[in-house]
Amino acid sequence: MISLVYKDFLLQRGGKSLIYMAIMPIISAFALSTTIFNVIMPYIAGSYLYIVYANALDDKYQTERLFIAMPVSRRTIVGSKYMSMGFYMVAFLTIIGILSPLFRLFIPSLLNMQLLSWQIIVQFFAVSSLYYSIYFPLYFKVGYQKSRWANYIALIASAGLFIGILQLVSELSGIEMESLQEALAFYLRVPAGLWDIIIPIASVGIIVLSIKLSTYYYKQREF
Amino acid sequence: MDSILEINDLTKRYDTFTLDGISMRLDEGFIMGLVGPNGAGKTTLIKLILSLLRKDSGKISIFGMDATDKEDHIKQQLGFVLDESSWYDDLRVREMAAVISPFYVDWNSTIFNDYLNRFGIFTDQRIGTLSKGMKMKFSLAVALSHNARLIIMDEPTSGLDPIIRDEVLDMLQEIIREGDRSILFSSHISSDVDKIADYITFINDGKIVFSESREFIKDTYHIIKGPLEYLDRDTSRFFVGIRKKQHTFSAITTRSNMVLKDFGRYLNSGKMIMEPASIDEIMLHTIKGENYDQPSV
Repeated sequence: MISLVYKDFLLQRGGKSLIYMAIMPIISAFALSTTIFNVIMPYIAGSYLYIVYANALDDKYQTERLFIAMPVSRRTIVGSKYMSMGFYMVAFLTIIGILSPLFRLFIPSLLNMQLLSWQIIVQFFAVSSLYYSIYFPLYFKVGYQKSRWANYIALIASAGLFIGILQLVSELSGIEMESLQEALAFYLRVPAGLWDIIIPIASVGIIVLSIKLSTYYYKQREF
Repeated sequence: MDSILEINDLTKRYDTFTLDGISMRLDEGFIMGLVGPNGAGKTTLIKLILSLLRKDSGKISIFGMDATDKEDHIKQQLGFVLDESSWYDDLRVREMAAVISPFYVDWNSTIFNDYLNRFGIFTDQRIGTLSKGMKMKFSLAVALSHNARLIIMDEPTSGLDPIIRDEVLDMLQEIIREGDRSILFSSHISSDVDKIADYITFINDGKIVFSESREFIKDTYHIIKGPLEYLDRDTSRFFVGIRKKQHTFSAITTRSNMVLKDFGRYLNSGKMIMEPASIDEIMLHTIKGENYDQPSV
């Protein structure tokens, strides 16, 4: 499985995802914004490019046939794509983790900005899980060409949901409606630390379901 | 003799095409050529053997094991060359090998590098810079580096120039000489099949026309040519696939003794000719010819 993840990485040479991975956190930092959007959005964009480029080349050279004809189970092929997603996330976070203290050291204006925290990792994980869990089952069911639209939708849905929920909470808190404020208060009373546990667990659940669905579909596919 | 590949009553149905009741057997140490026109079902059969397609019914046994139940185990000893190159053009040869090799328990890097040297392929070369013939040789190097006992090739010589084609065919014969390997390859170039195949399986319209040894085919299938006036309903019953021209006909027969008896005097006088049929002639007459109970066009 690792060699298929390595293959997805090697294929990125012709794409832009690695540039996003390396450059965008720097650009984000220079944007001098304290919001995490400037870190999450390039991550989503880079993540999208990473997987699209690898899948497009798999489709172009029809290499799915190659691996299926080899002693590689379809479950392994499915698993490797989810692992590639994890690899990209870890690599992106590692770069941010390395750059973050350097920025603070050399750019005083960033002293209060935290580019990497548990909360950010949780949000990265949640966004990734949602994005890939929508896209991959469709990709494995109908192939790259027919699932391109699903990739756009998954991308917009995951990014939109992430931004939307934060925005929605902020907007709703301004509306004077007793029942709404009570509901909001209920959720806001949940300690932030608890969300940091609930969200990863829910994300893992979504990924497990998505892997099962993808594997089921891929086993039915013919080449 | 040990059977390397055995297929029994294999069926795969599509809306517009059915691979119907295919049965064949390939023994250890032999080359089998799969011939037939485009769309006959050669690639479908190969894809079924490689588990790229799911069969509707029938059984495929490889190395004496059920191909579905022991898929991973079987594929450790299965090499293949697909009809179109399935290698990433952007990767270097060594990178592609690094991706593939961990999946094979018996992968031998020394053998792989020896083959690359022999074929004149450099490990730093991008696969996209290899010619079609070189890509074919690269596929062969991969297949031979994990000790494959059965090599399955879909149109390996298609699109190659005659010199490279000849080289590839010689190479396949050399592989077989080592003894315990077998090759199944499809081709629509019948001369390639004629040159190296020990057994020939002819598929037409999803059905097997014959699956026999080359010697048996040469001894059994004859082409007969002569004036159209000698052909009547009585005599044409000996023929399979009759092709008529304005004044002459040609046909394939598997009953040369009967033909000799009925047409002996014409054959002796040179008015008719009977000789062993080539694969091309068998294919052409089977596909394009008429049978005696069909109305004349």
